[in-house]
Amino acid sequence: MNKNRLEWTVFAVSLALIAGVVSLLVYQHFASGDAPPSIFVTAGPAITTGGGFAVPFDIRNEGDVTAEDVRVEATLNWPGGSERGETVVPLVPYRSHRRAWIAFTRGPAGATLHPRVLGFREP
Amino acid sequence: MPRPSTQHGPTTADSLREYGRGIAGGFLFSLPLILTMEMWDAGAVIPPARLAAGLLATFVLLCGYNAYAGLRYDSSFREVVIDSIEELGIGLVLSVAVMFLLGRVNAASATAEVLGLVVVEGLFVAVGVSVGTAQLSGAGGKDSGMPKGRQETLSSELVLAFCGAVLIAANVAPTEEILVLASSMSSLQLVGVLSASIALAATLLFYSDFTGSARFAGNRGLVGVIHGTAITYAAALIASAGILWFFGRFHQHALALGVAQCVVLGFVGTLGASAGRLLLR
Repeated sequence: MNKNRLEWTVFAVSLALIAGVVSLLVYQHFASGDAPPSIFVTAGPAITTGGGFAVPFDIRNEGDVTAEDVRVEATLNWPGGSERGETVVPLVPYRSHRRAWIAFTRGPAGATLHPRVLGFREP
Repeated sequence: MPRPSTQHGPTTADSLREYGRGIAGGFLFSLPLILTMEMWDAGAVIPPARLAAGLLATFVLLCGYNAYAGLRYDSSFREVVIDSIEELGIGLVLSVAVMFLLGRVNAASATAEVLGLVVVEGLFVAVGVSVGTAQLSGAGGKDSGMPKGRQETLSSELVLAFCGAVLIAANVAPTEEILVLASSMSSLQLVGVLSASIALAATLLFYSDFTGSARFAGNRGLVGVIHGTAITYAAALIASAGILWFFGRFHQHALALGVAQCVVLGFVGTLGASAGRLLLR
């Protein structure tokens, strides 16, 4: 077979890459079941925006099925008042995460933040 | 180790030119899909087992294409397999590069997400690489694909029809439009699409007999056209069903809706199986 060194290199790299991808897929197949979407929300540090404050949320799907239209609500409670906000994330793939922001008029200092998932659907 | 000057293998420059053609073809035939939102979502939704099945199916398809329409018509089985592995590898590398370049994935993305996206896009790029390598080649003697004297067999016809159907149908299969059409059309309309597909296959085949070469003349007539039409439409339907299954389009849908989607996509597949086949060989 007439192949030069470049062609053999491309072939070897391709073979290694395909083997790697297949092993990863097989590993993922056996390491995961068919658990429904399981969404966890963690708040990050708030930043100041034009109209007030915005809080970033890390929205993590630890299930084996992708979640679509994930609605997240967060309530900011402080002595004597509260404020509610929500956001929608179109797609959170299985075992992946997305970041979304919720804006508040008041800063999180001296207040407690309670995020929760309102709902989502399977694709 | 330097290559002995007596060996008549391709030079590095030859190989680079061929890879260049493959890369150009890879982008040419797959960019419309790479820039389709449904494709990105598909990468996130398709489970690992089905991605692996898609990888395997694409490899078989590449082997079929390389064996019957590839650049080196005198390839041995071993060469066909090696070429297919190279094309799949190049497809995956290009897919990773483009997905990072376009910001669809980044260093912070989860492994599962990167893997899904890269495999889904990579499969289509790989088919483009294969077709590009063969079709974008110069007109020089042995580079002109299938030699004129080559006898068409049932298996070569089936493989080329199937490759053509996949190549063309895959462009629209991941879009919502197929599902929207399938669910909104009446049975009568679907029968209409089915008839139109068969008529299209027969027409293209009939004309291919005349614009093609004289080698069909002896063993082809009305029976030949009916035979060819049946093969073409069957290949289109099977290819459509396979692609729809890969994209999870049968999930949670009634059997009738699944069949309706196959018929709608089958129209596009027929175009690929008949016209695409003429283009490919």
